Amino acid sequence: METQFFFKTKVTFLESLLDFFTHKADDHVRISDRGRKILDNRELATKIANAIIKGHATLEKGDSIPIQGTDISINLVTSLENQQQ
Amino acid sequence: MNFAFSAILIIIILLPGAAVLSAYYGSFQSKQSTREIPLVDLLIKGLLWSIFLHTSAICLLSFFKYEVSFDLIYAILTGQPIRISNAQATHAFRTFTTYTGLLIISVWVIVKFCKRIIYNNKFDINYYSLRITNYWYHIFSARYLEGRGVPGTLIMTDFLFLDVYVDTQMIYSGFLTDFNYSPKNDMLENIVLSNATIRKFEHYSVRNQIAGDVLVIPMANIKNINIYYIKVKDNED
Repeated sequence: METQFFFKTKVTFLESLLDFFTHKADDHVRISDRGRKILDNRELATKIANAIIKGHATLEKGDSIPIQGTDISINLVTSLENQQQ
Repeated sequence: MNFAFSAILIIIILLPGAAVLSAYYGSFQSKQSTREIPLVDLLIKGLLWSIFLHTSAICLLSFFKYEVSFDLIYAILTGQPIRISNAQATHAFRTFTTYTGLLIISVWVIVKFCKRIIYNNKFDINYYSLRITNYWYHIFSARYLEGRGVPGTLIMTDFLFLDVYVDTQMIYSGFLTDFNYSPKNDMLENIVLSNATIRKFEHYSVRNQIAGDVLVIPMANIKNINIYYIKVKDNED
């Protein structure tokens, strides 16, 4: 039991050290914890996707779009268009 | 033979400078890494760093009363005839490899440490010369929003929603869940969308849900990408 604890601690420490030097980041794509929960719920994610597509103009103006059947709404943080490099 | 050995020695002498650049701009995570720099370029670009590092290291060693014998290296590089015993050659080889090895390792660790400080303090976002990640990581991780004069912040963003216009005049829309970047070719290879829909460019409102969990779109087919940084909030907020 003690050996296992020692081993686990050591591995965690080494992993942390390796992560530090290899500059590891968990989120290469920005998805917050709340965002992850929403995307895991396929029905809710579909509703949000529909709301974004339908409310394109409203989003551009910076207004909130309520998601029907839920108590949440969405906002545009900002937007940008990128031409292919 | 002497020429080849001299060339190898020069490469080893230039390696600490190359290690600086490689440690700073490279990453084991290909999605974060900047463009891969070939070894020859690293050696040439790191020339000044190598001179600076060797000078600093020699000064530091002499401060602690140590020295690395460079006379044998000088003799090899200048093509002078060498007559030394096996013991002397072994000693010279051992001290030189230890010195170079330790210098490269320490430089690598120090640079990674500095890189972490620069990343955590977001200096790389506002100063292009300090940029340590590729352009697509910068955009898709929402670190772009941390830049000066850019509205919004990374912490405000819950996820990214993309409209992807492809060469068949169709628009794919969906939540960005992953992407793949090739440091060797310095280009985005593909993007991965979930809850994807497809619609024709001319008929914006008529769209079809794509079955399946995720959709992978190769970058070769993509004309442009419209990105929405979305924040979700409760209605009572």
